[in-house]
Amino acid sequence: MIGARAERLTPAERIGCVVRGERADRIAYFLNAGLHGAGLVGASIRELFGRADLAVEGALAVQQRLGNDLVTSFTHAAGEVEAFGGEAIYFDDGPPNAGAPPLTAASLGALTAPSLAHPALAIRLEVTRALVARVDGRIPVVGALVAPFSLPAMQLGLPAWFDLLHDAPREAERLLAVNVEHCVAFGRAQLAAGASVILAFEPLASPTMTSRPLFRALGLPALRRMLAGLGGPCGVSTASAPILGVARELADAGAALLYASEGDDLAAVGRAAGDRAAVLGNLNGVAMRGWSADDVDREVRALVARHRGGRPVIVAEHHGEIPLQVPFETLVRLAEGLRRYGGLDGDADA
Amino acid sequence: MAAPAVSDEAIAAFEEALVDADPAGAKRQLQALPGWSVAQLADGLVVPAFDRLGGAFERGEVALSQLYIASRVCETLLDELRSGARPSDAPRPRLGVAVLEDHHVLGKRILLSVLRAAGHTPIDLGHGLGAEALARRAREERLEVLLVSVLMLRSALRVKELVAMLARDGGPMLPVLVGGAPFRLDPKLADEVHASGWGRSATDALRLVAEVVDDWAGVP
Ligand code: B12
Repeated sequence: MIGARAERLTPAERIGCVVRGERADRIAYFLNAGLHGAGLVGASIRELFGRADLAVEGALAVQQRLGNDLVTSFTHAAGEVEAFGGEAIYFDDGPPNAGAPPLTAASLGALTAPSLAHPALAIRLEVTRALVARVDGRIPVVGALVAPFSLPAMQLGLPAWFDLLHDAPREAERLLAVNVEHCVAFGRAQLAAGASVILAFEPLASPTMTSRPLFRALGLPALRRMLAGLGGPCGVSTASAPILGVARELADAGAALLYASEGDDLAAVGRAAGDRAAVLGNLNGVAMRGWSADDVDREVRALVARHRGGRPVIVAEHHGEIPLQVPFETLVRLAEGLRRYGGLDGDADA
Repeated sequence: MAAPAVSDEAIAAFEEALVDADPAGAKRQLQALPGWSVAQLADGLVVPAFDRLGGAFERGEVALSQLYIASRVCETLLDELRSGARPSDAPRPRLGVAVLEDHHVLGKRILLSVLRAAGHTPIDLGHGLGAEALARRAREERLEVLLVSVLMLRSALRVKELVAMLARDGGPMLPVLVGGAPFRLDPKLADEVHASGWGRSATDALRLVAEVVDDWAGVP
């Protein structure tokens, strides 16, 4: 129970330091192993994400065991497309996936934003409220949503979304308008439930995913409207697709956090963000599966060395969810290493 | 018959038209080679253009949305040319394309377009198939090369099961070529699951298939 040990700052105070660009007592980190929560509370993934009480226990168990400086009410992206008539397919050994896309280009005319009372959305709000009550201000609770420009990957499927963006941009705009309305409502409700910050998953903002003219014409305006409408802090994750090429635009649009990917230069993302956005990143969760104890120690040394030098960042897996196939012991060793050697004031040495 | 050489400028212009989603421009490049058979156009212009596109995608100069639209434009153009034309008598391996376990179909869609544009006639085996069902379908179709796309790590790991089943069933050796995000994020993964080859971009499929065919040519 790494998280039970006493430290000088609470996670909330530590994250506050990073956000202000100040040095904290040690490296802040967020090893988001939400899926591992199932094993920790003895539930299947379907049970974990289907019951608010289990989801809360799972999230807290992960936080306790790893001593994370953040905790999240995120469960699975596919839940958000359930609210639009889609389905989530569950597996025992990985995250749920969206099934067949519920929308077609022809069905968009009559589309409206779903009610927040839809069970798939309501449960996330319930989890947020319960987590907030349990952490009692000590740990920031991160809400989450799939952002307007990327949500259609599940609503229509990516091929049909790219077809629409390319062949019928006006129709695409109509879908984006509904998605902005939905994201603003869902995000505001999470903030009202006590979330400290919302994390918007917008991988299609990455220059590796969409051409810049397409993103600037359709994606960025929608994201701007969403960020402005939330009325509270919101970060942007590109789900491990490189973010550097769009980091400045995202910070300009009002993003409060930027999730850097393994391929991104953290310092460069930090410079692009300036003092507007804090940076998280950039561990590769898929590759972590193969890390030996020596690999973990090497990684800890590299992270510590980098942090001594530059502006503080929150060490995190770059996608936002560590694959279930990464052994939990690997994460425990990583967390312990960051705590033992990650003191930023020189009181511990690697 | 081997394709006569095309200038680098012509290939670059064709590639640019595809990236700009400009079917008319791409068509002009094809028409600038009068008298060429569709197969020659495919080998001389389409394959090298996809090769360049794959490189540009890898370097982050071309986005996925552009790669997808480019493959779509190119497939449509070549389809138009082929309709009415005599089918190529160049020997082509029997290819199958599938998404293992996953329901994410974009990778497969790009693969199919790229392969078809280059003159292959891949069989679309669908998505969401388990290892056993896919192995069975591959044998039913008497495939000579199986291309598998995945997006989830758990699906990527299932390739190992698929390869083992194909090795056990007593059928002829069936190379399994793989790709998708997990393989890009962990370059050791393809070996670990005993894939015969993997590609960072769907356009790599052309090179990978050609390598498999070359290997056969070497078998006495
Ligand atoms: C965009 C994206 C999203 C979007 C849209 C996803 C979608 N398509 O439905 C959103 C935000 C909705 C999302 C959600 C999720 N995502 Co996501 N997402 C991504 C991202 C950034 C790109 C994925 C994508 O669609 N790419 C498009 C396809 C075409 O790209 P590709 O598979 O790489 O294919 C290219 C090449 O690999 C190659 N290729 C593909 N197949 C083949 C086959 C052969 C033979 C060859 C030669 C080449 C080849 O060609 C293509 C280009 O030419 C990736 C991270 C990344 N850096 O890639 C994560 C990623 C795919 N997501 C991931 C996960 C886990 C999820 C979620 C399950 C998270 C959750 N818990 O809810 C959900 C599932 C959503 C769903 N659909 O059910 C993981 C999957 C790996 C894992 N950990 O298991 C990834 C890899 C992130 C990571 N680093 O871990 N995601």
